[in-house]
Amino acid sequence: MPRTDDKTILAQLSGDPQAGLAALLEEYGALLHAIVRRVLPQNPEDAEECVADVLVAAWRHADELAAQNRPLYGWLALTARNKAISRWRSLKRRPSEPLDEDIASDFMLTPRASDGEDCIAELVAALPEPDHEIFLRRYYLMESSRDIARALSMNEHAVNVRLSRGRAKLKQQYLARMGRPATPGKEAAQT
Amino acid sequence: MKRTPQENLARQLDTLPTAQAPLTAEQKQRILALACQKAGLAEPQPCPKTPPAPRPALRAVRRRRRTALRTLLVAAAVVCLCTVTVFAAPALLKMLAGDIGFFAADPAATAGPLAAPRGNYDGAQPKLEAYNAAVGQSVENGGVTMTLDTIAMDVSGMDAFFTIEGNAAIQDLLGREGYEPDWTKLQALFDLLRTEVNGDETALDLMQTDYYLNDEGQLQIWAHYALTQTPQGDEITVVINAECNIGPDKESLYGDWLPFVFTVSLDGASVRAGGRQTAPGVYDLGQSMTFDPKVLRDELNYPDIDESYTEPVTIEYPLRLKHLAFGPLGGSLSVDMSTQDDPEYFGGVIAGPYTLDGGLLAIADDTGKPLYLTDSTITTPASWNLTAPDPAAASLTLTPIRIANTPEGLERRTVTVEEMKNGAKIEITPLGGYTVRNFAIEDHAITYELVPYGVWTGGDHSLAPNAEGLISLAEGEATVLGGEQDGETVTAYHSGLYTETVDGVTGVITVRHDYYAATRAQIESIPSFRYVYDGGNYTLDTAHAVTLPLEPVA
Repeated sequence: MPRTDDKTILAQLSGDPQAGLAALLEEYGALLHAIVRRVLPQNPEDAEECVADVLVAAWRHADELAAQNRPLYGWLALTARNKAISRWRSLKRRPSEPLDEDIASDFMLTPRASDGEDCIAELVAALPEPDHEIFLRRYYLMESSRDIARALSMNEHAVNVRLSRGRAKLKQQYLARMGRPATPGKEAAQT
Repeated sequence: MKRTPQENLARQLDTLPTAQAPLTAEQKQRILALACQKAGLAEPQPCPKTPPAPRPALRAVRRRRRTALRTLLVAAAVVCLCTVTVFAAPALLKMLAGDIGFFAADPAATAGPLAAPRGNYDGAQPKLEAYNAAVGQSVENGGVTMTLDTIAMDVSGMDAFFTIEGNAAIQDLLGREGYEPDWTKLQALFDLLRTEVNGDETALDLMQTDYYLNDEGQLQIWAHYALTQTPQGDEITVVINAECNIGPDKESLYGDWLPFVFTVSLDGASVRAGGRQTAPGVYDLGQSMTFDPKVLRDELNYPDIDESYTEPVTIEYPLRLKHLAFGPLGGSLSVDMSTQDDPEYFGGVIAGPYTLDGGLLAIADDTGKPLYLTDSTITTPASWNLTAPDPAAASLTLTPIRIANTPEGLERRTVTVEEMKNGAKIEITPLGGYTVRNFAIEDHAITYELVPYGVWTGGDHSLAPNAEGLISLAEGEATVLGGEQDGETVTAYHSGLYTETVDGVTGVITVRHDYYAATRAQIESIPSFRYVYDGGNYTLDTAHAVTLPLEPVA
C-alpha cells in the first residue's frame, strides 16, 4: 500500500504544486539524487537538473499516480534512472564531458522502445534470487557492485560474476524474444 | 487495468532501500528553483539564515524532523526549506606541526591488532605529525558520534583521522558470529570512500585505512587518500561523505548505514607549499598488445568471441598520466583510467581503457634514486603511493616494464622461517624485490615487514606459508558458482586471512597472516614460506623511457 505521506504529497502536487514539489523533494530528494549521481558522478549540475526533471514529471503525472494508488518510491526510482541515462547520452555527444563509460557498453542500459523495456523487465522479474535483486539494484537503482555486495552480504566478486553471467543470459533471451538474430554486425548496429 | 511489466518492476523496487546521502539546504533550493522554473511556477522564497552560535568548536548540521517540516509546508503560504545549522564560520586551516592521537598507541607495547595500528608507519608518522591541521568536528547520528580529529593535505594526497564513539554499534559487530578475526569485523562499521575536493568527487582515491580500539573503547581510524590532481584556489573545500553502520544486522553486513558528513576548508597556499610535480599528459612509451581472436577463443577460454572475427588487432597503450606529485607528506601517481573514445573489438570482449598501468613503471630520479610504487589496499588501482625523490632531484625517468607473457623463467622458491627472521631477501623479478624485517609470531598470527629494494618491485610479492596439515582449519558455508553444482551450498575450509598495510612514504609493506583456528603452537611449527620468482616475464624497456622535469607547484 502507498504510504500516507505519498497520498499527501500527490494531493499537494495537484492542489498546491509548489508545496507539493517541496514536499516531494524533502521526502525523496536524497533517493533521486543518489540514483542520478551514480549515472552522472562527475556532473553535479546536470544531476541536479535531472532531479528537478523527475520532480516535474511526478507533478505532471500526479493525478494518474494517485488514481493508481501506487507507492511513489519505485516509480520515482525508475524515472530518475531513465532521466539520468537520457542525460548521460546527451552529454556523451559533448566530447569535453567526463562520464561513466560503463553505460556506453552495457547491453542492459541500451535505449529501447517501450516494448523492449517491457521485455527486459519481464526477463529480470523471472530471474531467480539473488540474481533478481542484484539486477534490480544494479540496473534500476544504479548501485555499484560494492554496495550490492554489502546489501546482500555477498562477496563483491560473486556479485560481478552473477551480473556477467546474467547479462549474457538475458541478452540471448531478449534477442530471441524480440526476433533478432545474435550476429556481431547487427548487435553493433543495435547498441 | 493490467499493469505493464515496467510498472510491476517499479513495485518490486519499493521493497529495496538504497544508500543515499541527505541533500544540503543549498542543493534543495537549487533543485526546487529549477523544478518550479521548468513547471512554469513561481520560484520559492529563500530560507532565512540562522545566525551562528558563539561556540568554540564546530557543531554538526542538524535537520528539522520530517513531520514538523511537512506540517510547516501544509500550513505555510510561502515555501521555505530550512535546516537548522549551528556552526561558527571556520577559519581556513593551515598545515602545522602537531601530535596525532592515532599514533599514540604503540604496536610493540600492545597485545593484538585491535589495540594499536596494524602497520608500521615509521616513514609516514613523522611527516604527518610535522604537517597537519586539528579539526575537532563531530557529527552525531543514531547514537553514534564520529569526530574528524585531524586532517593533512599536500599536493600528493590527504590523510584524515577520525574517532568513532558508539559502543552499542561496535560491540554488536564484535559479537557477530564468524571465524574471521575481530579486527576485520570492525571494517563493517564505517565507509570513507566518498569525498569531494572543491566539488570534484574524483579528486581523491582511498588508498588505505587502519584502525583500532583505544582504551575508552572508541574506534580510531586513519584514512589515507591519493590526490588525482593538484587542488587549486586560495580556499580548498574538502567534503567527506562518511557513513557509519549504526545498527548492524547480525545476519548481514547491511545494517543501518547513516551519513556523517564533514566539511573542512583548507588554506590553499599551505596545502601546495613545498609541492613538486611533473606535467600530466599522454606519453607514448612504445607499449602495445596484440590480441588474436582465434587464440582468445580457442586457447584462452573466451567462447563469446564470434567465429567471424579472424584478424588479430594491435592496440597501443600510452601512459595517460593524470597526476604525479610530491609534497611534505609523500608522493602519488594517478593514471587516467576512463575509456574515453576507446574502441571495442571482438564484439566488446576487448575494451578500454587502453592506458599503461601505472604499476608497470620503474621510476628513478636524476640522482639515481629509485622510487617505489605501492597501490591501494582497498580499490582497483588508478592511483599509487610513490616514495619521494631526492630533494635535489630535478627530473624523473619513467621506464616502462615490458611483459613477455611467458611461463619460462617462473620458479617456485622456498624461504625458511629462520631465514625470514634473519632478514631474507625475497627476489620477485630480476629487477627487484623485498627484504624481510621484523618477523614475529603472535598468538593467532604471523607478521613481518617487506622492505623494497632494486629498481622495480612489481610482480607477485605474496608469501604463502607451507602450513598444510600443520594447522587447524575453520569451517564455513559457501555457494558453488558454475558447473554441475551451481548454486549448491557446500562446506568450505578456511585457514586464515592475508592482509597488508603500506607506509606509502617508505614503500614498506606490513603483512599479517591471521589464522582463524590454529593455535600458537601450530603456527610456530610452520617451517617455511613459498613464493614465485619470475625470471622471464619482466624487463626494463629503456629504449622507450621518458624523462619528465620536476617543477615546483605554483
